[in-house]
Amino acid sequence: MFTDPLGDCSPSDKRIYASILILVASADGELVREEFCAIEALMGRILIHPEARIDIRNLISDPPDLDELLMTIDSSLIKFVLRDAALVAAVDGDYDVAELKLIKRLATAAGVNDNTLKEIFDWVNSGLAWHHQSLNILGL
Amino acid sequence: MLPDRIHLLSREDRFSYARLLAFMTRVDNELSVDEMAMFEQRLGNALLSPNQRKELRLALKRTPTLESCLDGMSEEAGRLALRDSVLMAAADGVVDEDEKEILKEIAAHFGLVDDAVEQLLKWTRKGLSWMDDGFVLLNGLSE
Repeated sequence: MFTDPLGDCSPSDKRIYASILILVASADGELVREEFCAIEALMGRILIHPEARIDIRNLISDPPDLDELLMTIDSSLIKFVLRDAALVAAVDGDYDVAELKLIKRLATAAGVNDNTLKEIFDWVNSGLAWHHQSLNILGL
Repeated sequence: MLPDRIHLLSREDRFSYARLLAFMTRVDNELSVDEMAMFEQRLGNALLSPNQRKELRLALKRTPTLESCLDGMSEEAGRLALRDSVLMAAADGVVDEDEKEILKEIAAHFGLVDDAVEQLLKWTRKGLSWMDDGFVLLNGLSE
């Protein structure tokens, strides 16, 4: 929602970040509108250049290989990818098995154990609850 | 990036919503990187076409009037735009009096209760705290 250090990453790191999120969002075989919105929002948030976003969108029909991305990813970036993968996977209402499998692979790559991963999921849930409160304030 | 309903609005309303955000970025006469990132994030969430986004980025330079932004906007779009205007105003860490006045004007235009802006500012602070919790969690992963 708010800004974070990802905005200072190199264009190449930003591309890797967005590519992995696309893989997670489309892991269950379909990319629903809510997931697409989340990815577009995250690309906007870290100020990916509009032209670069076009290339990244093309990855939806031609997905990259996760192992290759994980080999090139900066070690400080992986934890942000894990956090935002958990967010993107949650936006359509639940975690699909295929999404969870990918998230667990990311967690392994980041050296994150199951307990910490659960904390990340709990953090996502508290964010969803927080965001929903705004609709009550707005009377929507 | 969290589930929202902006993408469910009509194309015209999504554009009006984003135009109001463009207006808000200029209220304090400076556009910080944080505000720009928030603006781009909301444009992404609204699923606007690349051409519409281009037009909106131009609106950051040629700021529309508040009246023209509000004109014809649905109540739902207006209320969501108010919420996200609060988020944007808070993105640089300070919501100044000029911004507050405009936010209150928008809230009144869409028939919200008198303290709606204060409620939204409180809600925004909770969101910042939630983001901070996320950073604490991530920082713990590096130890």
